[in-house]
Amino acid sequence: MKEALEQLAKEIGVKGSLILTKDGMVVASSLQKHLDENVISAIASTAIRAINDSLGKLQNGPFQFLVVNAEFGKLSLIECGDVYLVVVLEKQIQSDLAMLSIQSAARRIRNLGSMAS
Amino acid sequence: MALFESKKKKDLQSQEKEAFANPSPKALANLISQYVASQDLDKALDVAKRAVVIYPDSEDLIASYQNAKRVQMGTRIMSLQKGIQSHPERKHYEALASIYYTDLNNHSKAFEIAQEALEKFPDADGLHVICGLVRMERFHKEFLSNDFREAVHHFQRASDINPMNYRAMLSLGRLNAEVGLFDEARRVFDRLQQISQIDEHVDKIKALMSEHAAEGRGTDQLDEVLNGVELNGYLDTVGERIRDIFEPPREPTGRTANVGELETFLKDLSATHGFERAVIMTLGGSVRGSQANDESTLELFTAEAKAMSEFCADASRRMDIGGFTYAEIQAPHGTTLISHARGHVLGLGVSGVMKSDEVSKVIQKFIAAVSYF
Repeated sequence: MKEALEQLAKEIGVKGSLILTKDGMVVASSLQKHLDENVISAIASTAIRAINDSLGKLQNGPFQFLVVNAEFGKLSLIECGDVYLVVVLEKQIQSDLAMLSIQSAARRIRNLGSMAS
Repeated sequence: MALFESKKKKDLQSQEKEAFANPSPKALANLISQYVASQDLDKALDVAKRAVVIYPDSEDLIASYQNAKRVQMGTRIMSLQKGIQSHPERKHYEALASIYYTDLNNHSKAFEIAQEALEKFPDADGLHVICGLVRMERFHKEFLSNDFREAVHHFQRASDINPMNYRAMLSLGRLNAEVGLFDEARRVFDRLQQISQIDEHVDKIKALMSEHAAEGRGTDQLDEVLNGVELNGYLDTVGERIRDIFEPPREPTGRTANVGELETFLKDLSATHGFERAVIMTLGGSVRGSQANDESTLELFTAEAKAMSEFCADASRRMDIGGFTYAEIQAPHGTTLISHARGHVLGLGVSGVMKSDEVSKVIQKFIAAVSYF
């Protein structure tokens, strides 16, 4: 799983990524120095809970893919079986290309997870 | 090879003579391109500068000049990056950050470089200034209190390291004045005026602070002030007037709302493939308009869209990636799009997946629809 994150880190515009269990534990991470793993994992865990809670009330959930776009960056969360892939991105990246790489990493992680079980 | 290069150089030199003897934007732009292609960037820029003086309105020449600059910077950037990789020195980082900030206008990249460099060289006042300037720009865009605090931290640090750092002190004083911390601003400006007694910006700010002395705040009120600025999404009148001293005039806020624009937008939105429901509300939750295939689901959707938007805005702030713009959420039964613009929230629910260009179009139209608020 760490290898999948290191591969993703080579993509242009990817500032870092981590893999989070559904109860918020960090399984693996690959983050640029200025990014704090604890802060990102805390925010991601809360996002997963809060958004899924809202979607549940709308009878549409849990989410498979969430991307939060902001003025100076993006945060994407992808469900990969028992874990979530969390990726921090620069704002000015080509979304489609970046998403292809992220989806590819998510598939690898999902496959690794299903092999482990 | 040397002979060929020498001939090529002579050809270009005679071309240059001819181009300036009988100048035209096309001929000069062509000459600049040829110098760039032959990697004589100093010559390319020299010709470009002279050409732009003769034809200041020629878009071709301006584009050629900018291209030559970019290519020249590219070489310099590579050289600095090599230096950083092999034996990182403060001057490499400072030069690289400065190129991105000033020459290439890529403030995000400059910020990234400066942040990385400060971990190795925490006493580099120039790098603190770059971080401070980027944070100040972000504060003026999104009015997030964290950006203000970070900007002040960097400018303060820069001026502590180097008491002669004029830009740091001017920016620090300006920021304090903009949020009403007049006493703090005056203290900074008094120090600044020991370096340089004449600064029209400082004189103007001091005049405004004197005129509005009663509106000054103490540092103990900073949290309250910043919360207010963040909630409103703009500085108060005096703060805006201080900002105007440094920047060109901006669009006025609080123009008359155009409800018709919203209705048209929502009607168009209902034609989106897989459309189920949409709502536009203020940040406080007052509904401005809505459309749904099944009206009975609207109330719940509105409440949850508000909740999700508040969460996303909070997450963006805590992640320090600036103000929240939009979120796309894909779930088994469809996609939810949440967006913030001009004090309004859009919630859109569709069955299925939305393509990225569809999402972009919806967001742009939403921003246009609420642009009069």
